Amino acid sequence: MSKQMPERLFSLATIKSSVSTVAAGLFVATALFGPGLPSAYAGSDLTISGSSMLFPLEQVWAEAYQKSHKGVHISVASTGSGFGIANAANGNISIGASDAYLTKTFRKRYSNLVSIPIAFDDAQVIYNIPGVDKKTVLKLDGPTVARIYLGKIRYWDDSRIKAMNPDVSFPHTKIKVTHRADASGTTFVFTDYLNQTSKAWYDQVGRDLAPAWPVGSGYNGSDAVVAAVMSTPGAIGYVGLGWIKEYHLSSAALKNKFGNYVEGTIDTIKKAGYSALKDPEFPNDFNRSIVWNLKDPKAYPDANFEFWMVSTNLDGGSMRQVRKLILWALGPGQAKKYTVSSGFAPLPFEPLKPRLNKILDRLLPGNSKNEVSPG
Amino acid sequence: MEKVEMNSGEELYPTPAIGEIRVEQPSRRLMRGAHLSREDRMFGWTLKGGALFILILFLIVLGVCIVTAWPSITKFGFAFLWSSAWNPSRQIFGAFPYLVGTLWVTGIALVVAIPVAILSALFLSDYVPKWLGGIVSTLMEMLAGIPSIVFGAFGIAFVVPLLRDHVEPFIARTLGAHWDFFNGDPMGYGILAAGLVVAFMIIPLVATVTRDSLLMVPREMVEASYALGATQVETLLFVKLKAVIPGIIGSITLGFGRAVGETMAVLLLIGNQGSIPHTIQDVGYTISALLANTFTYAVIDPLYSAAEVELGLILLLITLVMNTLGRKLLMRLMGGRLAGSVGGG
Repeated sequence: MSKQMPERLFSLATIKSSVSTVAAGLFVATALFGPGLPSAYAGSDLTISGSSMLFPLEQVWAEAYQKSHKGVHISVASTGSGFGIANAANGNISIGASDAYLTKTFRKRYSNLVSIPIAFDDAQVIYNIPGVDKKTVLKLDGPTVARIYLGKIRYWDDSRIKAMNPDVSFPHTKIKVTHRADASGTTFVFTDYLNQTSKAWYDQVGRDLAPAWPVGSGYNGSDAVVAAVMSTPGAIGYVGLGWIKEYHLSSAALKNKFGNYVEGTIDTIKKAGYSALKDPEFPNDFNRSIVWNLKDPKAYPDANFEFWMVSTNLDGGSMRQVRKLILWALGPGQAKKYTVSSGFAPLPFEPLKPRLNKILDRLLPGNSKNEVSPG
Repeated sequence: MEKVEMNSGEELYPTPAIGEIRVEQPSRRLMRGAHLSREDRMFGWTLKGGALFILILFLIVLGVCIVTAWPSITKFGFAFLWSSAWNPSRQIFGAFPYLVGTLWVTGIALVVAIPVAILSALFLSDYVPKWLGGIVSTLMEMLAGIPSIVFGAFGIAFVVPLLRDHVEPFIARTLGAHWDFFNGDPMGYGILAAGLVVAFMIIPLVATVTRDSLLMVPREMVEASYALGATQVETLLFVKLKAVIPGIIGSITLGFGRAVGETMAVLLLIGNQGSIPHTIQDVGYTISALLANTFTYAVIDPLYSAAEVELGLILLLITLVMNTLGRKLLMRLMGGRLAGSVGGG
């Protein structure tokens, strides 16, 4: 089994993620123990820090943006969504990157933050079942996945799983539950789906970037989860869209609100996003998940927006730069060579535009009548 | 206290003790520096400054940790230590699973490392041919210098598959037939993998210090033993090894300190699950791995970060207690003739 695992998985990727953990730790140490040190990022015009998931996309964006906008310097750091939110709010960085929208508690605590959706991503259930062909797409629903992750369903040939997949012959193999150990946006999206579909999950665990997992084993970074699932017979895990393609993983079709089993692809994820954007009831501050509760019967039920968080207290000069960068990222920055190649689905600018106007109004009071356009 | 002991051991011809460096104590007048020139005194102050800096640094670290951890300390009290509930979104925190995980990894590491290290130290000091001794010693010192992330990668690439496919099923088949504790699901990742790899990391540490202690056993002692008719094995086990027990204990204390705080290799191997291990094949979680994994997120909430910093304080406390105990035990064994270092040698 272990021979199937591409070597670079454990050698390079895992080390890289762990080294970045240390770097992130240092970052946090400065943030926690050295408040009031705004010059931590001295010498750069814009600083983006936070979500490790968005980090690769932000890197290619920063590179391209600096090429086309001479004199602008952007520094990007992968420090975790929590760090991004907290430090964008207190003004240590210009943009905080987060995988999760601000829930009620955090909206109260960080009332000066404006969330800007910047890309699409999702969480997909991956598995490694001995004797089942890798190309088989399992059908799973929220309650079943929740029962697996609660430790209630323990074997792959459980009657519930078999009932949903009558064509697949399952071995009597123990299910090895894997999950992320670090705080992760993918975890937030994944647990959001379980939270909205399973009452047992809602009562016992809930939705969080780093929840209290009842069973299983945890790994630092999606790369480590992929490595563990691929090398452990009977394993189940979850990762974002980009990883599925890169490592040719088997991923399950998840049941959506209409009872359809939908595979996570760029197309079905976009459908989820569009249906939210077109819904007049969807809040303009984007503080609602696009998991499960959607009006498109073909939408993937476990997608999410990636966010940039910007504080309304930024000074005028920085704010102008940030606005420019946001408009660029939502326009030319959504080209496939940036988004899709970094593992994200591109955001549609047109349906977003009226909402974006309202968001950007909040970011530059007094200059709010200017029409926004990409570029 | 130590000074008095050191000065009073003069009446008899002292039993040679390892780890003891006898320093003539200068008189009080000399100590006060009455005879010193200005440069000497300035140099003295510089030295004192350096020493003071270490002390202040320690106090600052301790102070900042206590202040940051205060909300958690006051909210949960001592119950923090034995509560197993850890649910950040519900603001409930308990250290027990992480404490247990830390002790498991450290325990497995020490149980594996100590015998191997002592055997290799004995080999290196007494049995090895000279040409091989140099090579092995150098390799061992190089091993001690390998960064822990490399050990972690080695663990994932080699130890985990080995344990999953061969060792853990074997343990479950043999020992597991009699005791449930050995009859878990073979997963590869877990306390066993983490403990073993940490053992690999501390073996060179314990072995080098023990070897150095063995090499410093006075020739007279060994010769006396042979003169009384002891064999090589008897001399080694009952004379030399006995003489270096303080050195071994010191090195174990060092190894414990490293094992208890090891982060990167453990984080990659232990399977980071905050539950109490029931079998040797189970996954677990150590304090340091938890902090490395989630501390960047914990800063978002004051109580969350307080709880994690309190875990760090507990780790600090464990290390302090172990070091103190190690010293105390050493003092007893040495009959109070302990010179400054616990490192032996």
